[in-house]
Amino acid sequence: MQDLHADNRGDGRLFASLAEQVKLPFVQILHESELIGDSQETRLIREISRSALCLIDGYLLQARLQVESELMLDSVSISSLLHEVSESLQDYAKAHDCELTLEVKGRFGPVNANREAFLSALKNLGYSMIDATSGLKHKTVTLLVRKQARGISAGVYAPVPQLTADLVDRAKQLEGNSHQPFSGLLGTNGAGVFVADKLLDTMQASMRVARSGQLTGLAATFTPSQQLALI
Amino acid sequence: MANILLLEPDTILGKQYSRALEAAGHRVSVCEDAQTAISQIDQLSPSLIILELLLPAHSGAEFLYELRSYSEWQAVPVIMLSRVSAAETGLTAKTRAELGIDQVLYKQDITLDKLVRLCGRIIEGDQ
Repeated sequence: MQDLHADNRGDGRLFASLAEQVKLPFVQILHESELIGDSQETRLIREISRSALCLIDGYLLQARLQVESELMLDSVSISSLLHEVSESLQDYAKAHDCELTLEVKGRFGPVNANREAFLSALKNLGYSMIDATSGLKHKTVTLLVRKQARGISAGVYAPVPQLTADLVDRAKQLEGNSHQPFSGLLGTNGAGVFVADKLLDTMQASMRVARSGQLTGLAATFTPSQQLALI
Repeated sequence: MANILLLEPDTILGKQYSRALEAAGHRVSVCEDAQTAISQIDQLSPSLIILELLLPAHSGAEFLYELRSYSEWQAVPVIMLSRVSAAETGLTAKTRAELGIDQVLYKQDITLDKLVRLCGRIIEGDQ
């Protein structure tokens, strides 16, 4: 059993090292596409590279946070964070003919969260949800914030009724053992969703399936920060 | 136009940053390690230094401690352009101030265009 733990730690280090190394060619591709010039093709290359880098960074961040004994929670403005996520996903959505909208109705004070982890989780969920809309007639993804009894919920929503709590539970059981754990929703291995789930877990803000009108999404609820919000 | 010293251990990235900065009219000298940069600094006489934190042998921080010990190089502006995010560099605000680092940038978050504009502003003394 001890050997198994040692192997897992070794694997973790190897994957972290691999992930760091894999980032370099993506950064090179990103910069080379800028030097070639601005066209639809180079913009697409940039967005694909950015989505890969976001996934790798998310993986590395959750690996780092899991070994840290104490997670630093800040007072995070949820509205500003969602605007930032929306801004960074716009071009990727456009490249996928997907309309990305932001719904931040009302005033939401700051929440207790780790800003870096929260941002990475939502970006990775956003990329995954945009991918999930391929094949849909109306490709829309909505970043949504709303007040709930337990706190403030932020999530990524799309017209994907096949996304259910059962699907997510099953996918978590299949993680690492299936090429398509989110079969019916994502054609990929769903790494972006798993990374987001682990990042949210580190903040004790569990990812869950949520609904808003005709839309279904993956969201997490955060507790409001008691710090004065000067927004 | 300015002389820029670029400390970049990756040859491809070094060429990419050079091309972007040279296209904006700057002269760029690329060094792949801290020792070479220190030995050539007087000859290169840079108006701006851009460096990666993770260099072979001596780190970017060690290079800066050495550089700042020379009176003539205490004021040259520095951009740290690293493959490690600002949070992961472990550089506190105090250390950044001590080492005279004007900006810490994460390679994948900065476009070449933004980097060139930032360099222009720093060289012109607007930053």
